[in-house]
Amino acid sequence: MKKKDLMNLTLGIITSIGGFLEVGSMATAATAGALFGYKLLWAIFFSTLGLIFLIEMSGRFAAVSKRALADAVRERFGFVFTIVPRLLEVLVNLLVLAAEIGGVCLAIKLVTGWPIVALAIPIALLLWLVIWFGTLSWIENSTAILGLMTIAFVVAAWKLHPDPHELLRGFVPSRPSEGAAKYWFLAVSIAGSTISPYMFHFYSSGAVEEKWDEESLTSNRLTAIGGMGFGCLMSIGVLIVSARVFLPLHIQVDSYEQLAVVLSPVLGRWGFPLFAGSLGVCCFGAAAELALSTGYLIAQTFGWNWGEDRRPLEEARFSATYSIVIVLAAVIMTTGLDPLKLTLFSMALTAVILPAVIVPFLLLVNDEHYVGKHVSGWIGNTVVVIVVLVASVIALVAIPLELAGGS
Amino acid sequence: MTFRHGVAAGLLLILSACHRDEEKDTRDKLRSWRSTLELVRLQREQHNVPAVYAKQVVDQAIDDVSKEFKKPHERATREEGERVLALAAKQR
Repeated sequence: MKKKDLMNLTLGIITSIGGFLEVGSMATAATAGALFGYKLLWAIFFSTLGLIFLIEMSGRFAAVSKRALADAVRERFGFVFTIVPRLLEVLVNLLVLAAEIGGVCLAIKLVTGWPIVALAIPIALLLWLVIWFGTLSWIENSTAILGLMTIAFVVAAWKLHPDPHELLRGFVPSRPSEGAAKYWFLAVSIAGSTISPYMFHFYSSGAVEEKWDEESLTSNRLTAIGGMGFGCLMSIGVLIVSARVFLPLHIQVDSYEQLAVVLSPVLGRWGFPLFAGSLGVCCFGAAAELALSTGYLIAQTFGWNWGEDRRPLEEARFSATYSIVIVLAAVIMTTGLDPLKLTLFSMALTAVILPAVIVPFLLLVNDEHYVGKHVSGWIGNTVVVIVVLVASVIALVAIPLELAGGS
Repeated sequence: MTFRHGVAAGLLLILSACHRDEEKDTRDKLRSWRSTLELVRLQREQHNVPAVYAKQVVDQAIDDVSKEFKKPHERATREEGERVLALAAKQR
């Protein structure tokens, strides 16, 4: 591997680690740790396993076929087949984007006391300016490298010396002694926050923009395994810290305000700024990716020109799409919705729509017409099918129970 | 038993397994807020968290606990709620 390739690979892995945590993974892991200790570690582990395969597949597909996913799905299955899953995806993306903008607002609110309702529009404007004037790699790299401050959760988890036997037991799925509805709802929320369809749409579109080819397949595989694998450690870190700090005190995370103190008993004066910084930076990065990914999705579904690295006015419909999506998400946050509830709910909804998004994708990455000899192996296909089906079935049961107030 | 009866029985079983105990939920929430307030006070005393944040936690606790007072609850739960509100008011 050439020195330049190695640099690109390292950067790819670092950006994947830094970009892994966002408001969804942080909220779901923290709530899970506070309520059930290490018992939901398995949900993070299996979701990440599914995500690694999906990210690798989407990068491989883009590198070999030179097409982004949504583009190819429309081409292969037709517009009519594509439109319903895409609509669902756009709706869920919109809710998640609102939650991410809410996360940035909340980070600022924690430090300044300014209300979220007043911050939503300025943050949305800042987000729009960054996407309008920035390039794909600049947005990706800068937010993700800043996002490396989330390593603070792993450091804190390490300092708390969790019992390794108890930790290992958490990787084996088990039934909770009480709070079954909440437990399963959190399990699917974790799956939804980890296997977010926007991530692989963003990844495959980025690969097309950066003109990947078959020579990129090794670095694609290493980025997927290394980046997502280490990123998963951040989520595990959040869960462990929450379990060690909150569970003994019976603190259940009912609001982000409660969550913000989680690092302070371990990291002292650094804890609070690191938490607020991590939340703000990660949510901003995820919001940028979500807005762009939704733009890609809509443009590719309708067969429009798209590309973040081109001048916005040259891709007017693509630019208009992400601009409108950002405005709508900001409006959702100005209605005063509880950001934590919105986050958990939109993450669980993501799990519900996964089969509609993943099945056509799986068919494509196994279609020799598109990927030639680089079709997916049976291990990857099986893992993805099992993780996605289990997550969506549990979601279909757990969401109504959670809405009905099950405990 | 028809298929429909089987599905209905299954759903009833799931719902009963996930039966909601509102009184317990409220008691858990109150205990959670009491512990949060104490943890934040301790961190504030050690200068680990800023005053502006501590105030937000107190406001959120008062807001959340006050909402519980709008629902009918057992006397012991209401008394615990009043104690949490008093603790929050003291930290304000």
